[in-house]
Amino acid sequence: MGDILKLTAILAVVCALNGLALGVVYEVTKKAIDDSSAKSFTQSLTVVLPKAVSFSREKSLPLPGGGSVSYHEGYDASGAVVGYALSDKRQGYQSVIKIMVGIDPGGVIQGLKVIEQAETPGLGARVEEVRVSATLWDAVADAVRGRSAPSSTTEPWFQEQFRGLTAGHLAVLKATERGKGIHAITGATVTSRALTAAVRESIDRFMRAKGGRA
Amino acid sequence: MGNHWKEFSKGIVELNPIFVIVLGLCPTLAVSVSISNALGMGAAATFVLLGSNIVIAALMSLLGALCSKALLDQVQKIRIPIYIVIIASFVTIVDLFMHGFAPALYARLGIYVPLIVVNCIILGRAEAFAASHGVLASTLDALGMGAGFTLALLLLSAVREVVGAGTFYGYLVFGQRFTPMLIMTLAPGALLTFGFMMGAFRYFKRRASRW
Repeated sequence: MGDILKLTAILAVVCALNGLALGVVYEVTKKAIDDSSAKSFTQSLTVVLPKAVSFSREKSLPLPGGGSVSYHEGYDASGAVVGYALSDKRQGYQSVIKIMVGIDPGGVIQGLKVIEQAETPGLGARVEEVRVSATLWDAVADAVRGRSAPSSTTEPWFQEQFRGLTAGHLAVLKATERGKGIHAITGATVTSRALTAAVRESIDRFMRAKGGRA
Repeated sequence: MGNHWKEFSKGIVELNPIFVIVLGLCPTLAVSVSISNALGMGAAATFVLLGSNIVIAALMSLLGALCSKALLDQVQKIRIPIYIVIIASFVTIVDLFMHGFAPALYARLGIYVPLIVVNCIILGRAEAFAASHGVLASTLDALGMGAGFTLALLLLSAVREVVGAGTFYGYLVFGQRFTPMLIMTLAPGALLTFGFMMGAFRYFKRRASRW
């Protein structure tokens, strides 16, 4: 009987010490975690609304027929509204795809960003693929010569296709097809369609809420 | 000195956690798609292994010095919960730090960071080594096992990234016209690469021991 109390005490002390240590680490990292998630949100806003220099807090509009749409307004240097950032999520092939899309007041897409996805690597996950041009040999040569390689942080090519289109022009084309529209990723039709539908619907919904004006 | 070196180096080849003990395969197969992921996972697991090995070795020596023989036998009954609490704490520490200071890596590794808790390498080393050895030996053991784990991940991911994505650490290897073998970045590619590597590892180990 005495033993079980001692065992309980040992386990309790171990747990309490661990809890204490975790509390300290949580306090130390809390600020960095909050900062980094706030920063990544602002970065997404900047990607989808490249012309805006400042952004509003989250606003919402009632939808005719119930529900509401939330969005962020983007302002230019003089304080005029240059666009709206809309967020949406939709089931892709094997994960929920979260997107953010920016439109100008006329409904033309300014930028698209995939916030979160866990689609098949090499197929659906290519919605976030950036075309790399720097080869390993270039990088090694640069390193040997003591130069730093030019950082080529460009936009993922799939997301770039949306820029300049309106919701009405978001037809999904095959990868090999020519013409204006969204070229699907080879082998990832479901992902390409889901993403495009999410963009189209979030814009449609926002336009309905705005009263069909813009 | 020779003894210390042996505590460290055994984890790299002789008792390599992946290719010889064959533990911790879930993160190994899942994370080894790219070299940068492998490095991140290797570093995170090594940190947890180091922390838990040191604390467990220290705690067990402390209890060994404080408790009577009979109580020590009883403590054996609660050793697994003690290990798990300690390991889970270190994993949470890694999780919080990575979330705060390396958000991009954190997003890529995703669920596999919290899953280090159930990585059998860590519990395995706690049970098989740290519980019965001193702090110094356990530190060396953790560093060696961590190095062996990271090395195995790097080997696997180098093959998978080059063949499956055509890149090495994010840089193109074959130029833009190369069509990568997608299967290598998917689950079957992980198992194929792992199987061939394990076979090669055992073959060379056996040949080396014969001479």
